[in-house]
This record gives sequence, C-alpha cells and structure tokens, in this order.
Amino acid sequence: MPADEKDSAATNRLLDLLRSQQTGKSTTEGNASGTIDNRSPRGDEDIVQEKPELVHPEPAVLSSSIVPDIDLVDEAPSEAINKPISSDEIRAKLGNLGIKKAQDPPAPTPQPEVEEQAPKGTAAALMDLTADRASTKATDPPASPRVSPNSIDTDKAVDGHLIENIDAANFQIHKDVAAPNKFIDVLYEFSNWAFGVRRKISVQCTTDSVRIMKIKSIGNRNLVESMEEYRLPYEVGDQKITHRDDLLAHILDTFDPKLWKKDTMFRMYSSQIETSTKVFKAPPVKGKEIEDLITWTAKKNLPFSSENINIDHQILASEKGELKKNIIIGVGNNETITHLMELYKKRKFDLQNVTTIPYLDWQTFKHCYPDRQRGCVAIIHMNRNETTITMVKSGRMEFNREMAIGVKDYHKALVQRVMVGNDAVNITEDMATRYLMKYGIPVDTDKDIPDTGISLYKISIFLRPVIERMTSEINRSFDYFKKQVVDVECQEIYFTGLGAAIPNLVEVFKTQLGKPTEHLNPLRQGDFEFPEDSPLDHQLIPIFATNFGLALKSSGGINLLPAERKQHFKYRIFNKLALFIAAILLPLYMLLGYFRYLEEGYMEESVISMRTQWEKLSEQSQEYFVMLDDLEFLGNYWGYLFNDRVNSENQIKLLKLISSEIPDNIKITSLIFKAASSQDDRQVIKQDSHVDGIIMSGFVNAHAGIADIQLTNFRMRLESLNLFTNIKSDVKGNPVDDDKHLLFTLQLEVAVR
Amino acid sequence: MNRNLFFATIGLLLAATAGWFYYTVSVAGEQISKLETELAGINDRFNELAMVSESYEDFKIRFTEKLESFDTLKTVIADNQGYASVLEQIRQASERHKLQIVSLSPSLNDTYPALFTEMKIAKNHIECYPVEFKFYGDFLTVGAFLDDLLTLMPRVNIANLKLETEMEHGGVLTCELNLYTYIFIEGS
Repeated sequence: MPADEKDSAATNRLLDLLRSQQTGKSTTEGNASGTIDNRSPRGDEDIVQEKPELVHPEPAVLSSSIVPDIDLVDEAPSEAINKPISSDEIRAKLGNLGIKKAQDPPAPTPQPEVEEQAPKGTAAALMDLTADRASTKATDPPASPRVSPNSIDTDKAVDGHLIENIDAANFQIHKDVAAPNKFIDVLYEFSNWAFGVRRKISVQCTTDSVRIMKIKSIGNRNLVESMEEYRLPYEVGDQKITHRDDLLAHILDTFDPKLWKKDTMFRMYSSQIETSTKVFKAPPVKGKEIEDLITWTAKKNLPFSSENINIDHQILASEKGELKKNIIIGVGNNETITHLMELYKKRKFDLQNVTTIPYLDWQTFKHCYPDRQRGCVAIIHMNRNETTITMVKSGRMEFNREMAIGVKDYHKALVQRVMVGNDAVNITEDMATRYLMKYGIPVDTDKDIPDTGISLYKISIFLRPVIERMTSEINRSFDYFKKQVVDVECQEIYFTGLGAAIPNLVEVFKTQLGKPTEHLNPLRQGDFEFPEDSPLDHQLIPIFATNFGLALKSSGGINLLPAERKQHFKYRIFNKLALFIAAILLPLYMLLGYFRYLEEGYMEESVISMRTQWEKLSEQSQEYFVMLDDLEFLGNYWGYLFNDRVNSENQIKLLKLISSEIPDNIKITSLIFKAASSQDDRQVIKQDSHVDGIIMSGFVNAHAGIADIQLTNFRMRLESLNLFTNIKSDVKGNPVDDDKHLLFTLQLEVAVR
Repeated sequence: MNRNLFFATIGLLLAATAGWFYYTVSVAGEQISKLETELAGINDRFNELAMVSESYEDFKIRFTEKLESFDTLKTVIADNQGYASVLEQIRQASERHKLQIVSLSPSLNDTYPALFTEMKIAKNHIECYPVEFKFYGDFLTVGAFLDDLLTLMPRVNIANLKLETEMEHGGVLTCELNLYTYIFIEGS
C-alpha cells in the first residue's frame, strides 16, 4: 500500500473513531459484518478512466486539515453548483418521466423569457431533499438550481441512452398479463367517461415537495403523460413559494381548466394530513353496532386529536369458517383535508380521494400480485422521514406500523468529512443526495467516486449504522406481528417509496433480513403505459409509487374525504348515466314524435285526397253506395223481425213438445226459457255459439226406488228427440219426511242448427 | 350538486317519456287510427265499386222494390197511434182465457239498434218495445193463451217465457212473459 494511501486510511479510521464517539456506536460493525471489505483492492483511477466522458467536476468540499476551521465548500466554482438552468434546459435534459438525454452543457447565457416549467427530473434530481438548497425555479432566471444539470446528464445519460441505477427488470410486466383487447377497451372508455376518470392526476405531497403524475386513461390502462416533482422552496418569477399549500395552489393554477376540469379524477396523499390506518377483527355484529364499533376503534389510541376526524372503513372478505370480520379503518384529520379540498374546489377541480399509505401499498400489492396472495408478505414503504411497514396475509392487510426512520437518515449518515489522500473532503447534503441516488448502498466497494475520489467503501461504512438500525426496526415489527398472528412467518418483502429508489438498498436488505426481497412493482399488471418515444428512468417508479397506487382503480376503498363530498361523487356516475340516457332518449323521443307527426300529416293528406277522389265520383256512384247502405239497414230490420218470430214460435213449439213428453208421474214446477242473447242489448251472437237453454224443475211422484228410473227414462226420452245438444240432470233427493217425491232439475241446451 | 342534477335529469326524463307517450299514443295515435279506419272505408268503397257488375238502373229498381216491400210492414205493425191497441189485444187475449193478470208493463225504450240514423234515402223503420206480462192461470188456459199470442205475430213476439207452480198447488201456474211489440215509424 502506498504511503499516501496509508495516511488516508489512518485519517479515515480517526474519523470513524470521532464519529463513534459522537454517536456512541462502533463504526467497526460494518466491517465485522463481512459485507463490506475495507481491505479489498480498489481501483479508483480505473473508475475514473473507465468513463472519462462521465467525469464532471462536482462541487466537492476539500480541506487540507482534518478539522479545518473554515468550510471549504465554496472552493468549488459557484457556477458548478449554481449553474444557471433554464426551464427549456430542464425540459430538454430532464424531460417528461425523468428522461435523460445526452446533450452538451447548456450555454450559461440567461434566456429572456421562458414559460414556467415544472421541474422534472431523474431520480437523482428528485431525491435532492437538502433543507438549505436553492429554490426550484419556475421561471428562467440564470439563478441557482439546486442540482447541476450537467451532473445529472453525465450521471444518467450516455450517448442518448439512459443509464439505469435500478435494474429495469424489477419493473417488468408479468408474462401472464394478456394483451389489451380493443373491444373491451371501448367498454372501459365508456366506463371511464361515466366515472369521470378519462384523465387522472395523482398528487403526492411530502414535507418538501409535491409529486404530480398526469395520466390519461386508455381503456383499462393508464398512459402516464408526465411525472413531475415540485420542490420547496419554489420560485415563481420574483416570488419564492416556501409553503407546500401555496405550492400546491400554484401547481393547480398551472393546470389548464379546459383540459383538466372535465372527466379528470384527482386523488391525493399528503403527509401533511394526520392519518391513521388500523386493522382490527370485529365480532359478527351488523348495522349500527358495527358502525359504533368502527368509530370507537378509530378513535381509540389515535396519535392525534379524535375531534373533527373523517373515518372510512373497508370490510374484508372473511376466510372460510371465520366468524370475525377483518376491517380496515382509515382516519384522517378533517380540518387539513377540508383545507386541501378547498384548494381544489376553488379552482373547480374535483379532489375525489384522499387515502393512506398502508392502504395504497396493500391495494397496489393486491392488484399487481394476484398470483402471490397466499402466505404472508411485508410491504416496506420508505419515505423521507418515516417508513411504513404493512403486513399482508393471504391477500388481506393484517397489520401496519410506522417507523421513525427514513431516507433522510441515509442522507444524514453521508454528510461526513472524509479524507481523500491528504485532503479532507466535506460531503455536503447535496453531494450526499447525489451519491446516495447514484451509488446507493455500494456493493463494489473497491471503487472511488470519480470526481472527488471518495471511496465507495467509506460510503458503505457511513450507511451501515442506518441499515442496521432499520433492519432492527423491521425485525422488531416482524416479531411483533408474529406474536399477534401465531405461526405466520413473513415470506417475502417488497420495498417501495423514495427509499426503494436507492440503488442496491433492496439487495442489501435481502441479505440483512434473510428473506426474499424485491421492489414493489406497480407496473406488473400492465396498468401503466409510457410514451414510446422516450425511455423511462426506472428509478422514478418507487419514488412515484404512491402516485401509481393512487391511480389504480382499486385504491378508492378508503376515502378520507368528508361524507357529503363522497356522496357528491357517488351521484356522479348516476348523474352521468342519467344524462347519457337523456341524451339518447330525448332526441329519440323528438324524432319519434316528429315521425308520428309526419305520419299523421301524411294520413290526413291521404284521407283528404281519397275524399276528394270520392267526391269526384259521379252522383250515381255515390248514390249507389247510399242505397247499398240503406238496403243493408233495411235488411237488418227484416232480420230482427224474423229472428224474433222464429224465437217466439220455437218456444211455443218446445213447450208443447215437452208437455207431450212428460209422463204422468213427473210434475214440472218451474220451466224457464233462457235465451242465449240477452233481452236488452241484443248483441249479435255467432251461430255456432248460439245455445238457448231451458231450465226445468219438478219432482217424480214415486217411491225412491223407482223414481230414479222414471227420471232416467224421462231424460232418455228427451234425448231421443234429438233437439237438445246437452241435458244435465241434478237430482236433489226427497223432501224432508217425504220419500214419495224425488226432486230434480234438468238443464236442456237447445242449439241452433 | 350532482345529486340535484341527477334528480332533475330523472324528472326531465320522466316528463319527456310521459309527454312522448301521451302525444304518440294518445293524441297522434288515436288520430292516426281514426284516419286509418276512414281511409280503409273509402278504399273498401272504391274496391266495391270496381267489382259492381249490376247497372245503376237495375240496382235502383231493386232498391225501390225493397223499400216498397219494407213499407208493407206498416199494414201489420202498428204505428204510434195504433200501439195502444196492441197492448189492448194482449190484455183481451188474456181475459178471453180468464187469466188473472198480475202486471202488464210496457217499456218505453227501443231495443233495436238505431240504424235509421244512418239511412239516407229510406225514411221508415221499425222500433221494438219489450213488455213484461205476469199472470196466473192453469195449464190449459196458459197454453191456449200462448197459442193465441202466436196469432198476434208479427205485432207481438214472445221473447222469453217462465212458468212456475207450487208442489202443493199443482194446477195454478205463475207465468212471466217477456214480449216484443213493434211500432212502425214513418219518417218525414
């Protein structure tokens, strides 16, 4: 080992010692773990020489002493750090979706007037979360953007090709996902229109930035038009926006109302809103009892005031034989939500959903991993200040916990004074961010960072305590969960959020936790498409994971908006369908009515025309029909008279006939002729249905033994006359105390032949 | 707002549907149906006319004969002035057979369809008035009376007949007759 390297190593050890004294932890733990080998040879020069075109002087902090009195950050040329960047340059260099295109460094000449441009960038740019950085420029002052575009370019793009810090294989579409069906897409388009989701904007508000994802619905899929991050402080002209509400208001003001007001769904997650997600098992109660139970559980142990809160819940499907119901409860502070809602409302945008991180992560997993719903998995969402762990068992959210450790801890760990050769280099927060996003948790620790010569080994050493601490926190969560749900072991771990964009972080935790670990892939089911003409920086996907989750249809289950606002959207679909039906029916009615009107007019014209023709006929022809009608009427009168006479004669004839046929021992007490036609209205009866009737009642004057026989004989005699089509007899038996008389009734039907 | 708009749209739809139904079915539909019937009648007339083979003169002679034939009915059917005599004849016939009249109730409603209103050339027509006649008698006298009624044809016809007797008093018959009587109406 050369002498200068020995000096450098000694300096580093001294630095480690000083740091360990400050933190109270040993910095040798990382070395002892064996994952990072300090003694392995490093080829700093090789790295530099490998990609000479990528080397760009970074604003390194150099010092000749171990503990310098003066911070030498400013030693680097200010232009290198605060290089003027126009919005055009940002657009050209960063582009939509964080696309990086290799190009020459922009000319530092100030540009006169450039439209306000949302800062878009690669993951490295978006990860810059330094507290004291220069503000993001909305207009084009040749001022000091916090990230040198040159460095981004050289970091991420070579010859127009994107250099991926995160393997794109982590975010591939699953092979079993079917290709889009155009017919089904048309149906979905209708559904998108009906539900007002032809366009979507998902908004993720963090403490110091607002991430916007603009999406256009294509059938059942989403075309991501842009992923933009707006960071605080944000400059608009001469004004500097320092509050995120103002920033959000400003962003909303930049949206074209004509384009985004109609059929656009806004969904939002904001770390500003105090939220809580709880999962509990409810006994099998219904109605008001379950509502009360949910409210009580929601308010219990709430980490913020339980006054003025919005509660929403989702009851999960029970497993077979399970009596208790798993219920997810989302709770949010109504005051903040209403305040944010007003920001949208003032600009006539529809904020439709505000939800929580665990719910979003669970829904993303549930939607994107339908083939992995068995067993138990953990989703770790690493944000800047905190990390949320969500346990999912058999596809159901079982538990979630928030840990007070996040990406900012990784940043802080890197802000160190490092000896490079004989010089001490101060790693600023700006540098720390870039290193973290470019090199992540270094695995190949033999190399140095090209521009500063800082050994990646040192970077890995600095990050080691944070990794250990986070591993410990995650394991504690697993242990707690294991105690709650016996015999269930976490089988897989999915990382998402800002922290998952750190290169190698997932791989390192795979080793640390000893379980299969991978990125949570929101693109797995092919729900999201990107413009074909520009490559996608996959490092952005975990950063915008919340935005992706918000864009999924299934993530609307927990909505923390006030109930009346939710009802407003509930009626939207009905309203649209009613309008759709009205749009079809009203013209149809008018058209049909118009056709009917035309038909009526046509008929009237036809009748008038025929009448005219009829009137044009000769008098003789017209008189012919008049006489013809009169003849018919006169004939009818003749017919009536004839019918009456025939009916009258027939009755007398039948009476005489029956009288002659009645034997001596049968007495008739009642004989009624019933005409088939009524007497009053004289309705015309068809001949085949014209049946007159005679109802004849009487008694047989004989003993019961022979009375039946005599009645039967009488009936047979009547039948033998062939005048009656049907004879029904009803024998009523003997009167009381009289066995010599058999009472009967005969009904005779007389058909007209 | 969506809620109000939804109910307003539904209200509008219902009103539009009702309005459309009322117009197409009730207003225009009825009118069209009426016009269709009229048109079909005119067309039928044209078709009939096309099929007529008889000459106008022959037809007119036939029509006149029919009219004259119909007018001969006034010789057998009473006119307005003579209608009371028809009732009197019924009463006399019953007296002749010593029947005990319970009631003789003529109705003043013409039971024939008012065909005469449609007639253009023919002026005379017949009207039919039912008479309810209830009386007591024995088998022989009732039978003879009914035979007598047949002689009053076509001025009187039996519409309906009902005979009843008591088991204990087999010889006494209660007879309810519904009769048709006619008046020949001469038009001006």
